[in-house]
Amino acid sequence: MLTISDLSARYGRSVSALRGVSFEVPDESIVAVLGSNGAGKSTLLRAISGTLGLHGGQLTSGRISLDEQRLDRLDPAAVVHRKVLQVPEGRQVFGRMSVEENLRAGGLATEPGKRAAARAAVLELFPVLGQRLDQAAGLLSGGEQQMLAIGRAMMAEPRLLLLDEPSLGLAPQMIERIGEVITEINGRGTAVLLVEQNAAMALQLAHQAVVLEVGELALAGGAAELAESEDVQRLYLGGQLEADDEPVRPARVRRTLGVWQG
Amino acid sequence: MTTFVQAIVNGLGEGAVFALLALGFVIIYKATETVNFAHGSLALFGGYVIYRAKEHLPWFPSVVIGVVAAALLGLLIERLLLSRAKNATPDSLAILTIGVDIVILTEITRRLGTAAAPFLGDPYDSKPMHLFGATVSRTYVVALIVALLLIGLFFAAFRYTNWGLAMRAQAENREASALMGIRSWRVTASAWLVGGGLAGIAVIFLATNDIGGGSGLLASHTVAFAAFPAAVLGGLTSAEGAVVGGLLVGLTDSIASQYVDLNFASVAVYLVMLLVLVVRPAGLFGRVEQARV
Repeated sequence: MLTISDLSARYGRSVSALRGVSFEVPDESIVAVLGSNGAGKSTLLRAISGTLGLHGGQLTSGRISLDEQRLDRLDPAAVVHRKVLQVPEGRQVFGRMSVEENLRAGGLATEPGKRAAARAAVLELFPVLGQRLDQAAGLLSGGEQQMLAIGRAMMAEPRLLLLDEPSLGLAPQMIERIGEVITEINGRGTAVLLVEQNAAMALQLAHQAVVLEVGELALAGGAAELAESEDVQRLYLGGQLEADDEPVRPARVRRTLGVWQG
Repeated sequence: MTTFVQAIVNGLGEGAVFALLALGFVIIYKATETVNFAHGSLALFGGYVIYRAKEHLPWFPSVVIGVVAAALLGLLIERLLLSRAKNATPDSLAILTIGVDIVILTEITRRLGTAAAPFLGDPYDSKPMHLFGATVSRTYVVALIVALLLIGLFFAAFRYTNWGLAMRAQAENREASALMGIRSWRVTASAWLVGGGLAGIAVIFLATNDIGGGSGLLASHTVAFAAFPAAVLGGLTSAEGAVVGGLLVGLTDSIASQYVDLNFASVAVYLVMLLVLVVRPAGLFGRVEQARV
């Protein structure tokens, strides 16, 4: 189980990105993190994976532990060796390397004896990657790149997978496919911490969810019950907008500027 | 015709040595984004160690010791100086390497004294051989063969080994490679180790009567400077470019000195570099740096 307690982080000297965030990711569960832009979702994942420093950020308080071991003082490689893998936002596949080489890079942290099995499992999960092994990763479509990014992380046989906006910029069909993949990965025993702006998708997949607002934990609970809550509906699911609020028509504005009328 | 064969063989031999230097230079640049201005000093240091070792040992073991010493010096510069300047930009690190270069060059010049002109190419230096009806210096031929073998070996390692994979991954995307569990400091340290070692090998061809000329070892620091235009020509981030750039610089230098003038040759190298950069600002194999806003 991943335990996050009283976590605060900031960028530079003063920009505070997380303030006193606490929650847990139980083994083999899916936990969704919702929130708007700048709520601290990516910061949270970077804090767990140890890459906050690469973005000029640092933890100011709190702790992150996997079972009894602390993660928050480890470098990114050591976190990976604890089987906690982050798929970064924007996929970030190695575009100039082939699909095969991307997968090999993902397997570098795995014991050499287990790489073949991990590769077979990834190709079973993403048959499309198997058809494109020699292709440069940069030439894949957005959805395929997202699959490669997830597959690359799966090469390390994670027990906890951190996904940063996997649906970003993808077509609805592809989003659905990614959703199925996440459920399947979870079904094989990997816990998933899913950061999403697409709240509808995230709440459908997740067992539990937390909502971040400007760096603080605003809500937490079961995913189903959060999906029912009025706040979440209004803010993230767009539930009551059509019913209650008349769309505001912009007043007619004279398009010429005052200066020209003088 | 024989002059032409001579010019080509000389150019390729010399170019292969530049390629070794430029390759190390590019490996370091790719891994750390730092322009290593101390590259000539790495070569000089390796040569100095070989020179000292040769006083007690046969040629080959001395060379091995010198190459290892140059590699270790590269590692030392990275571990002791560069890696500790955590918040420094690549530009200020490059300036730091200029300082390192001056210190090493000055100290080795002092140790050698003005009179000494050690030469390191015992088995092949000043021993002409016949090739395609022309008489050529053996040094160039040996240099070409050794350099091509090493370069081939390096490219194979770059492509097929896990070390090469980690190097390329980190050069392409530092964050993503950290998220794969690739230890960034190991990649960086190994780049300096390899760069230093290649410089140490290059010096056994530079510090010769055939290539370096009259002042022996000390001249190799100056001659090694041609690795910069070679690397820039190739695009600074491309290993293939470094090799092509090295050969191009060697050929330019050799043909210009053969057919025009010895003094013009050193200018010609930079002329070629300028011409290439005018047509292709990112170098022959370089990619235009793109940054997402």
